[in-house]
Amino acid sequence: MEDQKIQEARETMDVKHLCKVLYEISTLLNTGLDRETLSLCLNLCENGVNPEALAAVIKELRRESASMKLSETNPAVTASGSNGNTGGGGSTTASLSGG
Amino acid sequence: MSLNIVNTSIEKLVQLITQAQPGSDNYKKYVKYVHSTFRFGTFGSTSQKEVLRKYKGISEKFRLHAQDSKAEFLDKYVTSFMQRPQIEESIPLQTRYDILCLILNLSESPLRTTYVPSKPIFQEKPKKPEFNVADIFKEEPLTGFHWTVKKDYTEDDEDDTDWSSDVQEWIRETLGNRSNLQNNVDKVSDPMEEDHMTEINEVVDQERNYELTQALRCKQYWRSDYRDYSYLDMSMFDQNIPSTLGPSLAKHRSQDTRYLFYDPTLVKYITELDAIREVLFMLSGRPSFLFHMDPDNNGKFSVKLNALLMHLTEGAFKSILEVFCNYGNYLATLRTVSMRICKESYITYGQTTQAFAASILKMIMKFDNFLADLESRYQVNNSKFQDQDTYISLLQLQNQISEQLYEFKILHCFFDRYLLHDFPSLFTDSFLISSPYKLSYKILSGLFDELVFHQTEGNKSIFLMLGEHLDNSFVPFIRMIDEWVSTGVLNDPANEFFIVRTPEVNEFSSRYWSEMYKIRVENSTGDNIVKKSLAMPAFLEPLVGRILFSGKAQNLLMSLKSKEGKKKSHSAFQYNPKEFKLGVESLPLFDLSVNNNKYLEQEPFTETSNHHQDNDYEVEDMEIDDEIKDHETRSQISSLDVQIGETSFRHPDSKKKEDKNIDENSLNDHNKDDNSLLKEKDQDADEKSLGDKEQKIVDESKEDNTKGVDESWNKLLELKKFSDLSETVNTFPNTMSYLFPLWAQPTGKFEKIDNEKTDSNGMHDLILFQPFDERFKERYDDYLHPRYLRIGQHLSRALVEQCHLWRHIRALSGFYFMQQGESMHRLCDILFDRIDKNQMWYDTYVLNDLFLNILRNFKWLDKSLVTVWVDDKSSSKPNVTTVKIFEKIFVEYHLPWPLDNIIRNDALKLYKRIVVFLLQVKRAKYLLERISLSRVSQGHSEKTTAM
Repeated sequence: MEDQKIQEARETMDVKHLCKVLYEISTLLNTGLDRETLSLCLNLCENGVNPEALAAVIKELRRESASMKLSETNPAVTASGSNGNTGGGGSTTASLSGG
Repeated sequence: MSLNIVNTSIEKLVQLITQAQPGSDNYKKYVKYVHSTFRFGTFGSTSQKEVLRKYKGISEKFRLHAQDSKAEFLDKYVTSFMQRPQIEESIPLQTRYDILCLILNLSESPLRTTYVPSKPIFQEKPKKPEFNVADIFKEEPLTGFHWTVKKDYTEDDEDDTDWSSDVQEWIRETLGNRSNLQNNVDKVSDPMEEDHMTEINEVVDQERNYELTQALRCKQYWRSDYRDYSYLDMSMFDQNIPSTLGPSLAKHRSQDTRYLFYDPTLVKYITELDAIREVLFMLSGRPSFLFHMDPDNNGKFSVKLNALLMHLTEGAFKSILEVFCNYGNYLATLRTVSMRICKESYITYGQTTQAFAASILKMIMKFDNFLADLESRYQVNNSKFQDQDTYISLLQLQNQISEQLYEFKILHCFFDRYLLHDFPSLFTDSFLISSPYKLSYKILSGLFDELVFHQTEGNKSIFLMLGEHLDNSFVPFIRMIDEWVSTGVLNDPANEFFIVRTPEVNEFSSRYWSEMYKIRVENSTGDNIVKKSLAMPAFLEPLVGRILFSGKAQNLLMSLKSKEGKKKSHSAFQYNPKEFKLGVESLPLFDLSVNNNKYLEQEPFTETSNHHQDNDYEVEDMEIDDEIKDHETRSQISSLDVQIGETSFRHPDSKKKEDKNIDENSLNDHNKDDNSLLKEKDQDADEKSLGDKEQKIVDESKEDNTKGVDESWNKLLELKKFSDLSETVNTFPNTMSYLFPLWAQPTGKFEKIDNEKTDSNGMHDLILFQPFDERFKERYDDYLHPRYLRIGQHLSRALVEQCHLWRHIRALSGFYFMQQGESMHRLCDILFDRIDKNQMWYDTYVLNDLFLNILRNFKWLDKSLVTVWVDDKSSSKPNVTTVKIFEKIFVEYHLPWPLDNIIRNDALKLYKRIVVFLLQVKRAKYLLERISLSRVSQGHSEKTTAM
């Protein structure tokens, strides 16, 4: 019983330690991911999500979120900005806008 | 299950990244987008080698850009992450590569960012204990004859079977924790497992203490690896926000081409509380992170901007620190110089200089304590999140301690003005020291002048501060003055007193009074002319004459006693400190704590106050009453009563009695003596009678007097005023304890000021109001004048009674001024008769014989003291008929010691000329009378012949 508890603690600590190391790498490379987002990403990767796809999604979501915020603060500027973005944007943006 | 997890994770991810509300259109759109991307997006699979290669590339890039630490960290993390053993429930290897790939894809310009490891992940493992109980048992098992269990035991078998295990248990208990450790080790026998257990323990410990250690570490801004980059990542980072002014400007600069090599990331930012602590450290004389101390330059400080404040520009911060730095330098200079002076022997600089230095050190020590309190107050306030009563602000600090800092500035200016000019080497290592007396006079005069100046300016705190220093610095002088006045002993080990002894003068010479003890003379050269001037503290000038006289009189009296064959003793004189209203303890003018209350009650400011010198009797009565009430024991009271009854200038009743005595005595004197000189000297006769009385008291209570002097000495030692320097005395016991014998009862300056503010406002106003020089003069007059009068009376009495001053004066007047008409007339007649008869008279022997025969009738003249001689060395025969011949005759009256000190040779020379002149006049008169007589007799004979 006691051994099982120690084993569980060890596993938890092990994962925790790996997560910490991962977070340090993420910070070092300036990914902008916080601990929670990183753990979600790890979860998704574990469940077979393609990391490149995930990276593309995160980037796109960030960009979209930023433009939304900008449009909220200054609608005139962002209207033209978002239009321009849409016009010259890639396929991912088009699909998100068109969605 | 897996799909559900993915969906949930996607929703959470969208929510985290976009901050969109779940259920909103945008949110749904984002989620849909993510799903479609995952489902229909075309992305390649992750190549493990490619990922590792890319990481190596980034590491290489870091190194190329001189960011080695980042490269090292990256290598270490990636290696650790990938090589971590895969156990059940751990992250699968492929997932590890995937997540690394994800990080790679999301990475944005890592070279530009700065990295601080959030907490130490890798730590050295603690060494395993080298020995434990199991090792001991393993190496030396409990085997052998002693440990064998005997099988044939009957009753004690059970106990003995467990005995060896009991021993083991006992040893384990004794060794405590180590046995527990052994239990753990027993359980985890596998070395790999053991390592892992330790690691888990470490992680648990780290978790527990993480926040604490992190908080402490974050505050250690003086560490070389300290970096706080939180401000760089702050979203609120804006040049328009004052609290981030420093980093904003730094960033702005870094973008300017003029500051091409300016790295804003190298700047350290500290809190204002830290800056305050740095300042307090510097003011306490310690080097700190923001101030560099130069040990070669007397420990002077300079501002070193190792860190900045977020809300201040570099220039503003520096200017604030420089203000403190200037004051810190004043303090450092004062501290260094005072320490040096105190460390040396008192002979080097003199006791006064040391007393002054000790006083400054005391003030600095108090200030250091104050700073320490201040620091703790700031820290305590900082730990409170609410109800702060201290603003954490450098400007507030400056405002708070400005008064004390200004006091140190004034002291530094004092050093600069009065000491540095004449002694420039005082601040350097090579000490070319001026004479201690010069230093002493400079310090005392300087302090006095500054006190008068600051009082006139109305600068109360500076006035009181300097006053305290004057009091403390004046201690050695007060001791010397008191000792000199009360016992005549010149105890001046450092040669700084303004009275000096001339060693070549003989004790019983006629120069004794004028030459033996003198005011110090200083030779100064100016315009090639050597000028002699008296060296003394200028403000003591009105008192110096009386001080000198008192000590000289004491010495004369002692010598007189020793000449009479009595044992020389300081206690032979009636110096009793209890006679005097004010003792030496009244002299410090700024110590309001002890005894001065008594004095201040009688300050001449109120209508009821009496001037001491004008109302001696009343004041003395008051004093005696006070003494009886306050100090005296019964026996002392009785002895004092004797003095009151007997002593002349005490009590009005006794005065009346003595007046009668005086009259009787003077009458007796008149009867005894046919001379009228004494009649004119009633006052002296008074003194004689009084002296008789007092002499009786002296004879009767010689022991009491001895006790009195001893008490005076004890009283001097028990001075409570000059305490407050015990810290300094403790610091420099070898030098200072001699200087201030029994300083005790330390009371802090700041405490004292507080007390003064609350308790003694009235007295303070008085001190501030009355001109200091007047107050000083009054206080010292009141101390000195009664002693001066008393000693003067003793001396006068001794001269009159023991040395018969009046008799000798009478003899001189009778002899030299021919006031003994009959006798001198006879002398002249005999002399002139011999001249006329051409008898031998111009000869030393003849003249001596002639004079002594005549003087035999003089009761008041000691014939052995008279000498007459002819000083004619010319070989030719003199013309003895002319009156000029008398100039060759010398008539000498040998005054005995010490009267020859009072009527000196130069006066006697004049007297000799007078006697010669009188002889000439008498001779001329004699001749004229003879001529006129002969003419008359000739005319008469002619008349008779004619008839």
